[in-house]
Amino acid sequence: MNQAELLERLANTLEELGIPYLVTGSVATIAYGEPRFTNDIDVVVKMFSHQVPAFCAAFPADDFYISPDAVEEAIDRNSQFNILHPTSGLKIDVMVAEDTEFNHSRFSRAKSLKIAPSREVSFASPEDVIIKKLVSFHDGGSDKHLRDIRGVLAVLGDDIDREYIERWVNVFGLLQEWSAVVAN
Amino acid sequence: MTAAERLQTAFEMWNSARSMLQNLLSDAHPEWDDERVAIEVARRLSGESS
Repeated sequence: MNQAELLERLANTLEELGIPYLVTGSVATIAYGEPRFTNDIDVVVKMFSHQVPAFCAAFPADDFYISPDAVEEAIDRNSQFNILHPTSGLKIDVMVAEDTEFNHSRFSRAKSLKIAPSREVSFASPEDVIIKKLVSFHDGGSDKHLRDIRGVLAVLGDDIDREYIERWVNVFGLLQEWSAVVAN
Repeated sequence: MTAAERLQTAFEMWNSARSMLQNLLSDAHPEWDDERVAIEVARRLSGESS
């Protein structure tokens, strides 16, 4: 299995089950910015307990590792669970969206992007991807988050809604991180 | 480049890294079977330390 196949399987599963989702993280910064090596797919979902059995069944134990208990716990706590494909080392990080103003905003601003000639997938907007990358850097993440942001800004330029970003920069207290990005 | 082309480029980086590691490890460890090589490739690509 490769990354394209894994992303398509994930999107197919979420869409078949009617689970709203957004691809975010490094795969999203690649789509909007500059290509780089990555091993992980990050996705935010609005998922409920009754969907867990069917969701886990789409990632059978012969090929994947996923813990239904971990999925249930992530739904209860609005936290994260993983899907591993041990043969390839690929990983999906699934974050269950908390009921917050920011999550309402980013789901309302989702963008459908073509990942292949006949396949579109739901992505977080570039502004929302940048905001979450700033949060990750603020929380002690690596410089790769800043490089990813700069890549998106370099490619999209004036198409980025900086006023929207700055609104959330103020809400999340990210002024220092944002200033560091735009200063370069 | 379109989003699809940028993703394709990144996914090809991963495919190339995987292929290169498979070849390197198979050459370095001829005693390993395919499964052992696949496990080590996956471990290295996922960034796990030994």
